[in-house]
Amino acid sequence: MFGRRQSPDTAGQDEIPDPGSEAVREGRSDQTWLRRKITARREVMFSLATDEIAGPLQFTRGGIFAWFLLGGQSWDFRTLDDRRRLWDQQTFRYGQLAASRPEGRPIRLRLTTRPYPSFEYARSLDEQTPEPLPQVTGGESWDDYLGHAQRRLQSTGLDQKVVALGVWVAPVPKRSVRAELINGTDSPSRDAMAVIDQILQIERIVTGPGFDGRRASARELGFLFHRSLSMGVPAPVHSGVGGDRWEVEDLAEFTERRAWLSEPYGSTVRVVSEIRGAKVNRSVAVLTMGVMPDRVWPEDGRDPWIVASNRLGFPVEWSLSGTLLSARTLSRAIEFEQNRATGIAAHYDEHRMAPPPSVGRAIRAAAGNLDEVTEGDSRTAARFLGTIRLAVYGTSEDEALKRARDVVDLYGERLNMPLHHARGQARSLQEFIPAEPRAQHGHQRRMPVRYLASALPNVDSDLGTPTGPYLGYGVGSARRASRFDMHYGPEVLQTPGLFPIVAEPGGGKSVLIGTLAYNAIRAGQPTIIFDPSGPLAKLTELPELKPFSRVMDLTASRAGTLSPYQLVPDPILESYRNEEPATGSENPWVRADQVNRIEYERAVRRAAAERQQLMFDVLRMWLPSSTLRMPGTDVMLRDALRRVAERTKKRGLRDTRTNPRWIIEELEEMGEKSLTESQRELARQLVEELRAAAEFPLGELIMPQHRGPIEDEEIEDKTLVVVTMPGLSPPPESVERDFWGSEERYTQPLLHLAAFFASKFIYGRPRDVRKNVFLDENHLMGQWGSGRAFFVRLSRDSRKWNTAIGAASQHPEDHLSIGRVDALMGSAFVGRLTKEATAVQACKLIQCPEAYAPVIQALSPKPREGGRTAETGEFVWLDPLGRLGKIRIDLDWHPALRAALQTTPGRARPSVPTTPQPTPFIDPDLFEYVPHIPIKDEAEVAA
Amino acid sequence: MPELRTDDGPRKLRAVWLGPKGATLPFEWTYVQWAVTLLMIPVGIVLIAGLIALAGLVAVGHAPWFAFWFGLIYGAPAAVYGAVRIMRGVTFDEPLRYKITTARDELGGRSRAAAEPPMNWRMPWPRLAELSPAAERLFESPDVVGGSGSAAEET
Repeated sequence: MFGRRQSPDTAGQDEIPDPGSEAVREGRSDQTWLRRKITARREVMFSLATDEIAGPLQFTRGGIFAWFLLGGQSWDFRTLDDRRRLWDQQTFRYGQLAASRPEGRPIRLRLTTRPYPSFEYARSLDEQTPEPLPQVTGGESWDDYLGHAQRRLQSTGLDQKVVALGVWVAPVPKRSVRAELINGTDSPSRDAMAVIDQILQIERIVTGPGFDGRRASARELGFLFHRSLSMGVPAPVHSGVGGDRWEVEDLAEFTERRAWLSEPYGSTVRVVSEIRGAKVNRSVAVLTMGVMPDRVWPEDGRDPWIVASNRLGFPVEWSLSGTLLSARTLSRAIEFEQNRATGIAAHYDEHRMAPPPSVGRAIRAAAGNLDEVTEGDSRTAARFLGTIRLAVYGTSEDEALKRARDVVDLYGERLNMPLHHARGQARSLQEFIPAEPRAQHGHQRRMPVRYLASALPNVDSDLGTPTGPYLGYGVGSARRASRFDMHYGPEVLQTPGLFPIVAEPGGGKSVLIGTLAYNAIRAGQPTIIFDPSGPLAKLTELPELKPFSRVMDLTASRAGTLSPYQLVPDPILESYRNEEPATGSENPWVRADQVNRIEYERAVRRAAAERQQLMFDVLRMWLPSSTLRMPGTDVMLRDALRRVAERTKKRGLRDTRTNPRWIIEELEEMGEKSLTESQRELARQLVEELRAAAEFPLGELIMPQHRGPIEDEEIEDKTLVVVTMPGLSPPPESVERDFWGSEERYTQPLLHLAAFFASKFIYGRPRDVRKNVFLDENHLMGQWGSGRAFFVRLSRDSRKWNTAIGAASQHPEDHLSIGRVDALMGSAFVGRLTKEATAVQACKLIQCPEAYAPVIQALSPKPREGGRTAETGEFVWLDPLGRLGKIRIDLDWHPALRAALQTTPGRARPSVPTTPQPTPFIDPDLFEYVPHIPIKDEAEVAA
Repeated sequence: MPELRTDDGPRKLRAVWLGPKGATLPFEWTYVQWAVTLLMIPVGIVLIAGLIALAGLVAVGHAPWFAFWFGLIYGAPAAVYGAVRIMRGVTFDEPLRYKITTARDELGGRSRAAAEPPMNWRMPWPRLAELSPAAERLFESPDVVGGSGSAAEET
């Protein structure tokens, strides 16, 4: 399979020029000896400025650098004020760094990516899943399941962002001082103390809000060196980067053999490296930032200028090498510039010519600069002077150059920032190596630190939970893999497990529910899906799920299954035991485990009231609007319900066994005993309408034909239950209720009650067992009092009963009408909502500014005319940790699941996605090549 | 709404000698352009005259009398042409010193070795080690600092 592997004997041979390379194109045999000599590809040789790295300290020829890793900051869906605050914090940090030394402070800012710790992912998920679904013949195993996701995470560009800031601390120290800094001492010398003082001073600045930095470790710096010296070459993908079980020596071994090859004035540098005897080639193109434009930011709505590159489907490496200049250093240079600009204007004047507008602008700008430097504080006075470079790589020169063109296009078009593909590629690439000296001439950018801070390099879009299965990847300011543990909220954060899912048809609700459900079932968690139309029933046909699944057709269930009295279960006495000892008790442990009778009885009364409300709502749903408007209708219905409750009590039955048909009987009796003609007429009309509804096909599910009490429903024991109601179509949302036909009217309560039915799944299992309930077509809930009460109870119980509840509907109002949504839900997904007003409401649901409504409207974009089928499954996700971001649900890691969740009618969607995907940046064959650094046992590591 | 701008506006202005285009001369040259051109003229004259003299020495055994005048007539214009060509690629972002440094980096043989077999694999790698626990303590003990950290805290 892996044909690229070469024997170690051939590793040292000269590489054969690849087809398409410059050497081949020009026909080297036709060139003269001199030209061949001058333009021949050469191995780039240079001595590294770094002597030694000890922890975060880097000892170089130019002095000591201290390295920090900056913490991620969220940007998407934040208010303008929040964004300004973050920007201001970073400006302040840069300004303080500049002011921390009179001559200014050299810095190196390096942005790279590290592979997603896919092995750690699989290991942790395996550890967190004590009882995955057993393997069945013909179905894939739990290991296969882990392998699918691991492979996807490892072979695509879903890397994690690394933002490293190196700050120059002090000049080259004496040997003795260096030894003290590396080895430590009880009584540091004065020189060593001066250096330590500087380091701590810098650390205080870098660890502050905005940067949220922390000291880099030697292994992280080693990784940075690997990324710089072997750019684009696969890095160790194991725990070294994600976990803590990887040693520094591993990386040195891994990166032992590498070389840079370059042609004079060539377009790229070829990086050659050996991984276990196999040669890996990468072509790297370096771009350099040109004169940057004036901006009105962040009001212009554009991304921070470094973050813009995150949107590309391939990794872009950044290097900013320069000095943060303090006001003292700057004033003379700026005075000179002002004088020169004035002199140029005078020169034109001398020749009686009008100077070009640029001269006038320059004079004003120079005067402004001088004012900032002489009068401003550290935020406004400090400047950055240095080079800004980007690097992209590919497996061939053509690919690298194509990516370079894409980056140039993106920055030119969206940010009006020119990127130059300058000559001297090898020298430019050298600047990416931490703390290498920067080029002193050419492409030197000087800007206020406010402009530099607007780059916001550490903006990231981390979403999801630290645990749980892989769900998808961010499509906002960065492409990052997201995990979602639906029980992270109830178990860790003490938040509800309820998460609304809102999207219009085709927005990806089924894909999301199907993915979440599949992951949960594989982990062995009991799951029920209420899916009226039934496409998710295909999940039960997957070989690995089939023996543990059941499709339950409600339309074929016995009469009375959906009796409202059955659907609100009685509270369980055991659930009302005191968890905490009562305060003030002499012996608190005695009362700790006692039943809280008051709470329990209150819950029993609440359940009875909820049943009555649910039955009341169902009766109203059945009745036409004209009857509902008649005076006394509600009173009579309430009266009938009260009488039925008394009747049940008198017969000594539990409330849940009440037969709804008794309501008709009570109404008939009330009609007979009524004193007035109008009441008799109203009772007669109500009885007629309710009888008609009960006789409607499936009406017996609510109101059985018999007169006896209803038998309690048994609890379903399968791991996956998909509840369907085939042939039942939900009432049209766009048509007013007054204009509904009787069939639509009779269907409504069935759907309403079926959701209640599915939620009974929660109460049949122990409280601490993880359970999942998914309710599709849940849009009727918010319209009725019982639905709202249901939601509040679900939210409350989801935490207590460790249950994740995904409630999908097409309108955010279904959830917002319940009130205090933020306290009720633990998370939320909002998919495409094309109508502006709906999208604005969705913003309230996910608690983001309404200005982001267009983002919701543009999710899962429909294909243009002539385009291929659109890719659905884009959501704005309010994750359990309260972060907001755009995510695309990823199905490509599991083809069988993708096929099962194909709900779009007609021809199957193309397997090749139509929208940009994370681009594989390592050769697929290398998946097996990349060394799996052995993971030592915990005990061994500790030893 | 304050505008965010870099310092490049005033930095990229270039002062010209002898006035703007059309004021004194039909072209405008920066001081650097003038300097390069004036430096190139004697170099061009000497180069061409030297070539003529060398050719005469080979052909007739002595340098011809017109070697200097030939150099002056052809060498000086050639030098001016050469200077103009060179300076055409010189911009604010790629000044002359950048061009010279790049040429030295790209064509200089000192720091390069041709990629002939076998490959040298001589890319350097620094020594890496974590700080010792004693050194870690050194960086974490506030007593060591002596309270001199002057970084201002968040406003």
